[in-house]
Amino acid sequence: MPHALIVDDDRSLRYLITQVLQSAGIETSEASTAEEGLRRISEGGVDLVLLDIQLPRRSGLDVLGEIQGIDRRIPIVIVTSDNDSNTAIEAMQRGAYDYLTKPVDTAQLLSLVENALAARELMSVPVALEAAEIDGSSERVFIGQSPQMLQVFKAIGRVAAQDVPILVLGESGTGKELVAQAIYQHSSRQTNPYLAINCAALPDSLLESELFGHEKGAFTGADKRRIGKFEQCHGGTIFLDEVGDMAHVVQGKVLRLLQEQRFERIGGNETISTNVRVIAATNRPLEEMVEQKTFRADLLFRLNGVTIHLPPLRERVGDIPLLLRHFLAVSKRSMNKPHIEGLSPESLELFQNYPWPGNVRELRSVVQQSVLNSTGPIIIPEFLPQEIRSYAPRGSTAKSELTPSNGAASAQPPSPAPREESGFPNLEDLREFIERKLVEKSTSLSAEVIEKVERYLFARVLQYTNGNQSQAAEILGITRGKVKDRVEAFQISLQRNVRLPDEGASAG
Amino acid sequence: MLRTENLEEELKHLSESPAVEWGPALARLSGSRELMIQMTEFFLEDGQRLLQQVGSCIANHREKLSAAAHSLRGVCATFEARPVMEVTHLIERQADQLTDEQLTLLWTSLQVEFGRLCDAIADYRRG
Repeated sequence: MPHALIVDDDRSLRYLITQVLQSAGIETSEASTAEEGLRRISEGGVDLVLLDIQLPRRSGLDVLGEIQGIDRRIPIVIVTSDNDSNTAIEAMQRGAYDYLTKPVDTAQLLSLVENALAARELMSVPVALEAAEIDGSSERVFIGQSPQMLQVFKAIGRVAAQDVPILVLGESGTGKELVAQAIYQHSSRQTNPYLAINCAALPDSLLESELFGHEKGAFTGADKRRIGKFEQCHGGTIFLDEVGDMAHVVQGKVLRLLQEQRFERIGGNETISTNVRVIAATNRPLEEMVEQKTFRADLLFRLNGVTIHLPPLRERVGDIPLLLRHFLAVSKRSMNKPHIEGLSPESLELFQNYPWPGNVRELRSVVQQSVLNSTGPIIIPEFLPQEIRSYAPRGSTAKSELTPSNGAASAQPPSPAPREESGFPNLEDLREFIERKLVEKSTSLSAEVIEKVERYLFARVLQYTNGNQSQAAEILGITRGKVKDRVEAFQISLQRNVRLPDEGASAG
Repeated sequence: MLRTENLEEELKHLSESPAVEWGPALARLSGSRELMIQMTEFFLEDGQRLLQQVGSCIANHREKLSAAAHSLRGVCATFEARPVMEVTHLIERQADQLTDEQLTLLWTSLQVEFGRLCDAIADYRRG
C-alpha cells in the first residue's frame, strides 16, 4: 500500500488529508514540524510528501531541498495558501511535483495524489535509458550506428577531401547542415571560411545580393557596395541550404559560378574570380522539379558531384536510444538539471514508437521539453509532450485498423472532408490501395502511398485556404515554393474551387 | 503604507458578507457533511486559542504576529469564512507596518467576525 507523509502544522488540515487519503486506500503518517517530517522520510517507506510551504520556523522551500537530498524519487506536493502563487512557482522550479492550494479541495487532492503516486511507481522502476556523459565539444555531433548512417559517414569520409560539389538530400530535420559541416571540417579547406545560407529564407532579389553582392546604386536602397558570400568565402566552403527554393535567375548565376568560378556583382561590370566549394542541400525532389522545369537540369548536374542521402529518423529507429542519451546529456547540462538520470521503460517505448516527422530536430526538441517538465530524476510518460504520449504505437490501433480481418470500415477518415471532396476518403480505401499494389507486386509502394497522402493533404489544405498558397505554406510549415511545386505536380486546380482533376469532383 | 481611513472603510463592509459560505465549503469536501462536522470540532478546539494567540502577539510579540494570523486564517479557510480570512490576511501581510491604531481596529474587527463565525458554526452543528 502506498504511503503518504503529511507535513503541516495545522492539525485540522492533517486530519482532513488523512481522512481523504485513507478512504482511498493510501496509508498516511503525519508530522507537524519540518524536523519530524525529515526524520520520518529518512526512516524510509514514504512514497509521497504533502508539504506545507509555511512551516513554523522553517521555509517549506528549504525543507523541499532537504527531502530531495534524502530521496529525489519521492514526489513532493506543496500545500500553499491561495494567495501565494510566487512561492508555488518557486517550488515548482525547485522540483516540486505539483502544488495544492488551501483550503484544500478533496477531489483535487485525491486526483493529484493518485497521479503523484503513479509517477512515484514509474520512477521506482530501474532506468531504461541513462543520459550519456558528454564533454563540452560534443553538443553538435553526428550520432548513429545504423547501417544507413554508417553509409552516410563513409560517404562523408570518401568525399570530404575531394574538391567536388556535394548535394545533400534528406527530409527536414535530418541534419543536412551537419553533413556540410562535417565535410568542411574534414576537407583541405578547413582553415578557410565556411559560410551557410538558407536560400528559402530570403526573397529572390535579396538572395542574389547576399550571394553575389552588389555595386553602389545597383538598385533602390543600394547606397554602398556590398561584398557577397561567394566573394567573402574565397578559398572556403559555402553551404546552400534549401537550394530547391532558389529562384530561376539566381540558379543561372550559381550555375555559371560553378562552371567558371567567376561572377559579377549585381550592377557591376567587373568579373570577379573566386574559389569556393559548394555544398547544397534540399528536401525537395530536384529531379521532378527538373522535369517540371522549375529547377535547371544543368545546375542539378553541376551541384550533384556526389549525392549524400540522409535517412529519416523513422528509417533508423535503432539510433533513437543513442540520440536520446546524447540529447538527454546535453539538455540536463544546459538546463542545469544534473539529477536527471534517464528515461523510464514506458517513456523509451513511446519515443521508439513515435514516427518523428520532424526527424532528429524534433527528437531533440522533445527531449528538451521533457527534461524541462521533469520534476524527478526519471523522465516518465507524464513529462513527455502530449503528441508523443497520445501517439498510437505501431502494431496497436493504427495497425489493427489496416488489418484486412479487422473491420477497417470503422476507421475514420483523416479529415472531415467527405469522400468525393478529398480524393482520399478513409483508411479502408488506403488499405485497398495497398492490397492492390501488393497483388500488382509494386516496387515503389512507399512512394506511391506517400504521394497519395500528400495529394490529399495539399488539396485539403488549399481547399481550406480557398487556394491561398501562402496561407497553405504557413499551415503546412513549408515554403511557398514547395506548395507551388506540389500544386503543379498534383495538377491541383486553383481556378475557383480547389480540385483534384483525376478525382473529377470539386471541393470548396 | 495602509491609510487608517481606508482601513476603516474596508472593515465596515465586512459585516455585509456572510460569516461562512457553506455551499463552496461543502463542495470542496465533496459534499461530506460528516467531514465538515469533524472539521468544526477542530475549530471549536483550536479556534479560540489561535485567536488569543493573535491578540497576545499584537500586545507583546509583534514579530510573531504574521505567523499567528496565518495559522488562524488556515483553520477558518475550510469554512470559506471570508470576513475572518480577510482580516487575518491583512494582519499577516502587513504585520510589521501596521500602526497601533490600525492594529486596534483590526483586532476589534477580528473579534466581531470571529464571533459571527462561531455562531454560524454552532448553527450548522445543530443541523
